[in-house]
Amino acid sequence: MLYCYFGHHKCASTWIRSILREVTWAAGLTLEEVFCPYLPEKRTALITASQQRLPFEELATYLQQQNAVFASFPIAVSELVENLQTIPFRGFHVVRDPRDLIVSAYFSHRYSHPIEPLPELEPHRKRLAAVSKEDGLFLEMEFSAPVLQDMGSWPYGHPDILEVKMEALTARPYEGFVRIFEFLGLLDEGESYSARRRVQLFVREMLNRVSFRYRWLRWLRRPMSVSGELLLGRVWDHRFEKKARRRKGEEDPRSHYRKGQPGDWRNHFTEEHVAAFKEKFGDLVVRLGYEPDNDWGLTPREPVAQIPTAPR
Amino acid sequence: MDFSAQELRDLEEWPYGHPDILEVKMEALTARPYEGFVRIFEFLGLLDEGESYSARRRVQLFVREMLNRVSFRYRWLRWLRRPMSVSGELLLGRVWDHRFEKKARRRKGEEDPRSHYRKGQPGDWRNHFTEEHVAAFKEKFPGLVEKLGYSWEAELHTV
Repeated sequence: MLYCYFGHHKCASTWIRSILREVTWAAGLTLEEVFCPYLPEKRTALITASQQRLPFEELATYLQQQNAVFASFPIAVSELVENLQTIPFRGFHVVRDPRDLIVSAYFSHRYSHPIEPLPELEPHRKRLAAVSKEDGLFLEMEFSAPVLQDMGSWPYGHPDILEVKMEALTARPYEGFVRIFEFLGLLDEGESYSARRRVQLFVREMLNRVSFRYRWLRWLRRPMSVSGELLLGRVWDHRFEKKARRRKGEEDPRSHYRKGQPGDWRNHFTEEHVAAFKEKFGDLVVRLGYEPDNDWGLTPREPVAQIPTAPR
Repeated sequence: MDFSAQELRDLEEWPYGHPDILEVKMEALTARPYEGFVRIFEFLGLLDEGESYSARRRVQLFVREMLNRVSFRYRWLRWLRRPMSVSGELLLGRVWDHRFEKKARRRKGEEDPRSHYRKGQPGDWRNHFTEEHVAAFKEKFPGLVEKLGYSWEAELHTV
């Protein structure tokens, strides 16, 4: 069985990948990252972690050759799923409110995102630096269009892929990752551990880590299911407050972990941005489950009143 | 209501708003146990807010934890005990060990009336109280529900 993470640019992929990397290390599960070029016109092949070209149709074979147990796709496109059909897999796919994605991408591309993994970013950053935020957000809608189109053409409803909203995952990260690993079938649901068993698990975890660090020690590796403590411990290590050294909602526009607040797009979009967004991306927000219909605007709608149940 | 009256009076007379006591609603704690316990230990100042641990530091912490456990089990080993702040992994791991699903061997909301972990669903009183119970409760414990920050109407929204 292959376990997969399908992500998108600016959908907490750095954070999720860090957690997956550490959890899979400790559990002795070989993790393989495969990248898809950012621009659709360059998507003639995938790129492996060692920067090799990998034709889409060779993806499944490649992962098997690498003995990959976990595959991470930070830029997820539907062709990946099509080319994985020959092997049994379970995965999770993370999306974000595309309006927040635009705002997040604007700040990130203007200030904090490294240029090196995304060469197209360099001229874009220069353009953003030369214009106002209002114009910059229009430019960002152009630049980030591939991300939104990828999210729009994703094969939602696949029985082996858990759909996750980034907002839910960052709001309740512990429950969220438990749910993901439960869905994948990787969670160790065993009983409380005796002291003896805990020592065994700890030693196993340490040996697994070392087996990835030193190639000549890879014979020490023993894949194991992931204990709650291991998973939650790594989520804790990567909590927002520590990454950002601020609480969620407090802003630092120049930080990769800028604000962490869903719905922040309302603080930055104008009516013109709303209109441009709808023209460019149609009802994407509705299809991703962020609005009931496409009549959304800058003013938040009244939440649908819930009628309390009367006592019987 | 008669048998449990003292319990409810204790709740009523509690010195709410004490600056050194964090007030916690059970419903919030069981709904979000991981965040809840982190918040409690943060408030207590017992949480180890340190950086990610190196392998060496993790081994040290693990050995320390095991020695502490053994120091409570065997009285003659209590000299091994070294109090330490609580790491996120230690705290969350224990919350995980005691998750409702495992204790009860059921999901929250599924009921076993004879189990200590019966149902775990806030607002369940609505399924059992009659109008007479509501009236009797209000007469016996006037204002208590509101004082504790709950409400007769919007119960389901407060958690």
